[in-house]
Amino acid sequence: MRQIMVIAGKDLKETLRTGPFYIYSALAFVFAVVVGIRALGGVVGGRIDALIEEGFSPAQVVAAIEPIMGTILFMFSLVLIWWLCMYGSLYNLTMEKTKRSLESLLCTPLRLRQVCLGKSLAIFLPSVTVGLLLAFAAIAGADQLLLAPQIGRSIMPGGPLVTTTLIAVPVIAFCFVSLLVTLQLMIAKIQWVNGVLAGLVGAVMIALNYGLFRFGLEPWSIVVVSLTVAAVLALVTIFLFRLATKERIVLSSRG
Amino acid sequence: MTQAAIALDNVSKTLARRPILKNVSFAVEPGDIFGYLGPNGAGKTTTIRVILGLFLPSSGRALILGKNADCDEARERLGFLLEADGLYDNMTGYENLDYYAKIYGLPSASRGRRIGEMLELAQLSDRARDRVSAYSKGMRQRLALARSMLHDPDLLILDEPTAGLDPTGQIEMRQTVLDLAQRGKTVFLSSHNLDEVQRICNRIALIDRGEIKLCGETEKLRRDLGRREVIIETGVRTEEQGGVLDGLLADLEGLPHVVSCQREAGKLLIQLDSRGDASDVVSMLSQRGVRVEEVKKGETSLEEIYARVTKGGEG
Repeated sequence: MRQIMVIAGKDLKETLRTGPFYIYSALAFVFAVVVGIRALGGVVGGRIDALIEEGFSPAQVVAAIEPIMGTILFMFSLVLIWWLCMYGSLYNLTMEKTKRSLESLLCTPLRLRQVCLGKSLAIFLPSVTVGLLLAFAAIAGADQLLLAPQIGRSIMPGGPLVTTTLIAVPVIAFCFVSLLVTLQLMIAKIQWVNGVLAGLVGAVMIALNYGLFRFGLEPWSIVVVSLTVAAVLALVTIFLFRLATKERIVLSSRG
Repeated sequence: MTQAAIALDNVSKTLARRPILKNVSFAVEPGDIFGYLGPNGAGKTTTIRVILGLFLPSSGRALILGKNADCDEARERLGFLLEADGLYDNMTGYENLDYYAKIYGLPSASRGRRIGEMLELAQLSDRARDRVSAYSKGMRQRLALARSMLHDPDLLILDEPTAGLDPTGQIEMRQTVLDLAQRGKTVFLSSHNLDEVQRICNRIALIDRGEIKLCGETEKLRRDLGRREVIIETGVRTEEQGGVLDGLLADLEGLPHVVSCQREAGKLLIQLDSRGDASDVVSMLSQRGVRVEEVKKGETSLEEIYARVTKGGEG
């Protein structure tokens, strides 16, 4: 575990020293403001208007909107985290493979598993931290600026939904990052990595949407659906990891 | 019997259905500075990757200090400097070494001191806090070498350690390698620089098209395989007399151990094989009435042997 943290610590330090990390974070912030505050505020605001017109009381509106806000928080943080992971994996791993520093690392007594987990953690930690912070800020911003003035009270997701997001999102994100890192270690062409990433995000989103549509927006269903998706990602990662060898990684590092 | 630092036993490696190494066998003894030579694409890098445990042999065995090359224990006792230095540009020289010191599990109490010693050795103490992206090629190479020695390994694998260095850097790097050998370390050095190998390596192996063509002690190989050049200054001065020498060339080439014979004005340039002796040539010239004024002997270089072997000539 100590070695894993050493790798993660070094990668984190390097990430925080690179300009592109801040550019990606700034873009994620812009995305959070535009989509989170304007679009989500608009969509949820429209729903609130519809409920008020139907004669719902403010308490009933809050009760109806709260699960939607929770789901938005959940999905929105996932999207932001994926965006940041994309930068992290492309920058950290692609650079390491291009500059062949990964080859040197593989010549040390480190196990491949340690390298993979260390790299995954280094991508996961900043992405989850920044992603969750931005998602919460965007939801809070949308609530304070657009929704609360509409009905005179705040409609933030309740404790169970926030807790669910704080547990389920990191679990899915970590499984997602581990799979991405495993694939990136073995794939030589950057275009393929981008394609795989897009496909992976699409597949996870479809699985989550299908699951949530099927089982509803309750905290328990979000947890169950998320854990199921995470388990599938973890199983695929474990299967693919068995195919990852130092030889394959070195050969895929050419150019 | 001492355990070989590196022992490759009939190692073959196939990549993408193409044989890269074909039954490669050699042993590097403890304390050797072992030069590994070969043209581009000969299989040098693949051999190094097998030794470093990055590639598993398709067949045969690779043992490092008595352990399988891919086992952790072997890699703990091995230092390396690869063709790509593998340094992290966004980190300082000190941080690069600190990272590897932690990976090799150096105790925190002695880590700082050891890194300081290595930086001193690499003459980078005053640049330790600068990012590696600001280092010159020579500084990077020295830092990478310092990194390879952090954990005081018994065996060092150096892939083209002087590539891209200026002459001063090359001299310093060679001296460092010699110092390491004096301290009892084993050095496996892959290089294109034949002069460098000839100067510092006590044993060499030459690989070409995936096969080991030569392996042994550098001096012995030079003695056994070298063709010696002999320059004979004759008393011939005019072009008319030169015609006499031309008439002798075929006869001289017919002598045992004479490989080739050329005339340049009054000089004869004769190549003898390793067992040849200039006395037969001188005798024949005297018998034919040619006055021999001086006989100069040339030394065979590793370069000559290398060129002959890699061109597929006789060894």
